Amino acid sequence: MAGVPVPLERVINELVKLPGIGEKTATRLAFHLTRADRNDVEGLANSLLSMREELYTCSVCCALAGADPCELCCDPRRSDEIVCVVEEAADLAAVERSGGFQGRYHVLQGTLSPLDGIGPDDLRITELVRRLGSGTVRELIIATNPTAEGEATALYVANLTKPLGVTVSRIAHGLPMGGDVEYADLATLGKALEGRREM
Amino acid sequence: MPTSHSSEAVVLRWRSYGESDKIVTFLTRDFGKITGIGKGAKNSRRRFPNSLESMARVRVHFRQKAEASLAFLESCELLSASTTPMDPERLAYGAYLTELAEQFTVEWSPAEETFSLLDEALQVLERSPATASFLRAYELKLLQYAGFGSPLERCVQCGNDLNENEICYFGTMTATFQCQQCGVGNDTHTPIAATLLAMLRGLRLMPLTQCQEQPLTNVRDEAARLTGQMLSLHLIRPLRSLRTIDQLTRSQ
Repeated sequence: MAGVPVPLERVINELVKLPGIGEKTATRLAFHLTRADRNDVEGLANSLLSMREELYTCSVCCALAGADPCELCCDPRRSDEIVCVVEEAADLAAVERSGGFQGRYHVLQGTLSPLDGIGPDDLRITELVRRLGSGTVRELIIATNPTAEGEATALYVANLTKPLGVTVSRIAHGLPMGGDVEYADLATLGKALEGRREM
Repeated sequence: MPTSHSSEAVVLRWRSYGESDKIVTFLTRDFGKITGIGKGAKNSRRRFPNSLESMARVRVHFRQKAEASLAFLESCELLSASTTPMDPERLAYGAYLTELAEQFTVEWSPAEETFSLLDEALQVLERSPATASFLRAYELKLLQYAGFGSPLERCVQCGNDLNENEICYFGTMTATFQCQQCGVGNDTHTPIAATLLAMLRGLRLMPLTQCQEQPLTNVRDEAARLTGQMLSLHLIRPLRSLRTIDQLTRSQ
């Protein structure tokens, strides 16, 4: 890269590998780091290294965690009978923020995505089935995203786990709280009508 | 000055760009394949309400500057939406059809027949599972619309009609057919049962909705191999969806 010293260029080349970071942003971030306090830069570098060393995939729920098994899997106040299946660790965090769920989790680490060549072997489905084999789990709540891929994954997991004697439910879809029927799209309104409840 | 356009389209694929944008590729009825950037598409429920998912049937409104490679997506509305979730296998076959359509179309080169074919095929798939005959028919029609359709009626060498009672020969390097006299003894040509060729001819002419019911019985695998070879000669990159289809079929 013309006019950019090699050490800086190295940083830019590494940053540009991150999702959503183009060359311009990478250059801006790299220049920012040259002006930053040495302790801050060391803190960033060390935290990146320790993240790789201290982060585990929980052998029970397959979420990223600081210990194995993770904090949520070890919590004795949580029910072992209900498991919420989510796509990614970020979804687990979102459900957890709602405060409305006191069971366990299972992170699939993705969804079936044929356009990317991702199939069931690439997801943590075997681990889920193995987990259900213990007989403790009575209900599975599938909380994958309401996208075509999320729906297909939900159906795949449901078909695989129902024969194991587990009740399988799907999180509700439809209008968001504070939403407006007039502005709802076809798919959302269709789902909302389909999933209506008696009052 | 950018020009505003609007067209019916099928979403071929999308990918995230930055925090809130999406880069989306469409196959449009009027302009062929176009790729555009949807600013704020991940969050905008009003401009892009659930409409940028792969395989969605939409009407897309966009602007295009003459010198820009990406169109600017103004909005996109869903034209139809199914409330029935697609089962994994149908999703995988839908992706297969979509991937093929993407590879056999060119940016800004109108391909109305291919658009209609993909649109119809995805609608058929929404109603019923993909059968072997449906897939073969789609592949043959797609090849034809893209200008790569091999003549199935005449020998490419001598021009004589291919006899339905005789074996004919398929050129693996050219994806063309030769009669028994011209093809025999040629190392790059493999013998093909006459019944198979007649079946393929029928599938290419038949409306896609009727192909779903056509039995392929004893020529099923051979037909898949043949159309697979025809397609592979023109593919730019391997089809990713085949890996998923393979995993799903093995797990059954």
